[in-house]
Amino acid sequence: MKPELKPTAMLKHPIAVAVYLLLFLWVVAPLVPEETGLQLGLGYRLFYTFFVLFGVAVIMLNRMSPVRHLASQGATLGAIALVFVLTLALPTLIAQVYPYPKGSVPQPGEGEVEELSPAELGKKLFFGEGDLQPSCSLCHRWEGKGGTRGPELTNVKDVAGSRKPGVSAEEYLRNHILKGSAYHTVEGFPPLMPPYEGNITEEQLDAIMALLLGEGGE
Amino acid sequence: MDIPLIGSRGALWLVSELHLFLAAFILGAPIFIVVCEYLGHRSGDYRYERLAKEMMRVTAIAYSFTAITGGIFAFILWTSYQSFSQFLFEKFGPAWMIYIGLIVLEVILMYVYYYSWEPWKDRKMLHIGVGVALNVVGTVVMFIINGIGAYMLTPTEEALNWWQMLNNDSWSGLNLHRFIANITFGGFIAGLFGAFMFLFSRSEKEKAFYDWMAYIGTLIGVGSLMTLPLAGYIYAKELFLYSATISTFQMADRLAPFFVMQGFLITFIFTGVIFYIWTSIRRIEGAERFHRYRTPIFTAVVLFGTLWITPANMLPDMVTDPEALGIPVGAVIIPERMAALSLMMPKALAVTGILIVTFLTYMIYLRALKTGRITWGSIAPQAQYSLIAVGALIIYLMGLMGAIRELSRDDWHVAMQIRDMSPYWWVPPLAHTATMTAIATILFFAVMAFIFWVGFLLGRKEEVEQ
Repeated sequence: MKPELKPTAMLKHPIAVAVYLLLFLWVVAPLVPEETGLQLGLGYRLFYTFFVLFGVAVIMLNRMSPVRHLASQGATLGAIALVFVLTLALPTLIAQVYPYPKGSVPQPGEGEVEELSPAELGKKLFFGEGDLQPSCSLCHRWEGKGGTRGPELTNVKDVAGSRKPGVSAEEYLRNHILKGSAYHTVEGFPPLMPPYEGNITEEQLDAIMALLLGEGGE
Repeated sequence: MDIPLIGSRGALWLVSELHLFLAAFILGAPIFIVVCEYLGHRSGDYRYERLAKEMMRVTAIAYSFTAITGGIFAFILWTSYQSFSQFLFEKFGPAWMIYIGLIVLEVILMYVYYYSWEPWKDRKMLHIGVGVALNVVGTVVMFIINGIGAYMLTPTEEALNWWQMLNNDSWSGLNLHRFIANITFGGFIAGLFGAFMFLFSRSEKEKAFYDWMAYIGTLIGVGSLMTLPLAGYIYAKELFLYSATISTFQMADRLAPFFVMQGFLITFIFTGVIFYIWTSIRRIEGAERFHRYRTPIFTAVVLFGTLWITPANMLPDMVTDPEALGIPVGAVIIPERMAALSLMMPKALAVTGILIVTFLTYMIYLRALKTGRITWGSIAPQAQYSLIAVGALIIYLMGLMGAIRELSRDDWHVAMQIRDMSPYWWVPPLAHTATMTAIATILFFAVMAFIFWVGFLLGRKEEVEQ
């Protein structure tokens, strides 16, 4: 029998060690009672899982036999560009999931938030309970709560229709959210409104519109 | 005037980062180019001379791109942020004049240094003297623009003149940090260039040279990178002494996740460097007995990295309530008895641990060299790919740290004095920042790949034909 096939040698293999660590993180750690002050939450278990996988991947890659020196210039350039882009993809992807899981943003028709009306969801988004950046309340007030950089929006449905001649309240507000100050700026306020186009989903926009125009958009 | 599609801030962000990457390179590379030229002159080892000359060729082409991106940067700043640009030009008038005058002098010195290489080959010390002068002028240029950048974050209260504004509380910290960071950057880009050229080389002689060049560039890069944490602490301390609010905003509020990302990147960089050194050790004949240290070394660096990055919580700011989002508090806040791991002391120890492990790895490499024999050019190609990955991460890290410094002002152009009244006043989340940084990094890589190609691969064909 070859030495590397001995059971003890197999147990010391980096992949085996990684499996033990992952079993510990996902099977043993959740069983630790909360009162011990040592129970690792989901975010931290995912965090440490990444490092276990990263460590074992690096060790295994370093054990690889030498790769081929590519013959054609095109293939060489392609390989270099691929390594470069994949390397950048790793931290960029971590950043996409790090601050908050995107899936945590309440959406209409999803699980326990199913009972939320569009206007209720709009109110949550308005006050920053989601991934809409920046949230409306940083600059605007709703029922007296929020920032003062922009106008109060509680009764905006009554005045939005007269802001631009021939433009309905709904069209005005929708365009204003999507295009920001480039579309229009209310007199007496600085042109601070960012364009949300590309940064807001259709559902989020509908929810905010429902809030601003009153439930259902009447 | 707003910029279509990406907006004024997006455009300014990408162009300024591209400009700064190029500027860091043309300031950092000449420092070790002169050192290499001097080493070649003293030791008689022609490889140092060739390394210096080839890097200078890359640097000379990079100067043009730096000027082009600087012009576009100034144009966007003027057109999109007029009143703020006017403030900067009015208040720092004499500083700008000195800045422009020194840039002209720097370009003249650069051309003299580059084109006098052959004619002055018998007057080497004079040539090296021009190189030193080029570096001194380049460094002063950087200090001036650092002063203006530092003023925006830590403005001098009741400043009477431009000098008092320039000489603000975080100027020296930023100068020190950027000076070292530029050498690091120049070293790693030389490593990237060596790796790039190695992979394109076909003859054993060329492979041997570029293998050695990638090694020297990386050695300089890592050597100066190891001193950067200390310079970073000094800079952070200056910011803290100026206003604790800045530090809180950076380390415990909106920018805290950005520093977690910094930890990820630095851990990846050191792991990449250690990967490169171990691949180097593998090709040393007679050094097999050192291979048993490889797994413990990688385990240690990843462990220290994990300890360093472990955050106190995973919340994007100080006001977000995870329960309102339906996320259990325990999922995103460190367990009570592990909270000590998120304090500065264990983190400082972890960073020190990473530095010690890297140093130990290099010591093992030197020991392996003494007992075995190295054949330059025989390294496995994956070592060069690891240097390309390290190069990508270094550029990305620099872009991210630049964004952190800019975003530390929150919604101010000049902290507590001039408010950002544009539609882009808000601090973007980490995800957006990371995407912007990745785009800027790819743009810079494209420019550098073009420079390597036009300066060397095209030229090499001509040399072969001649």
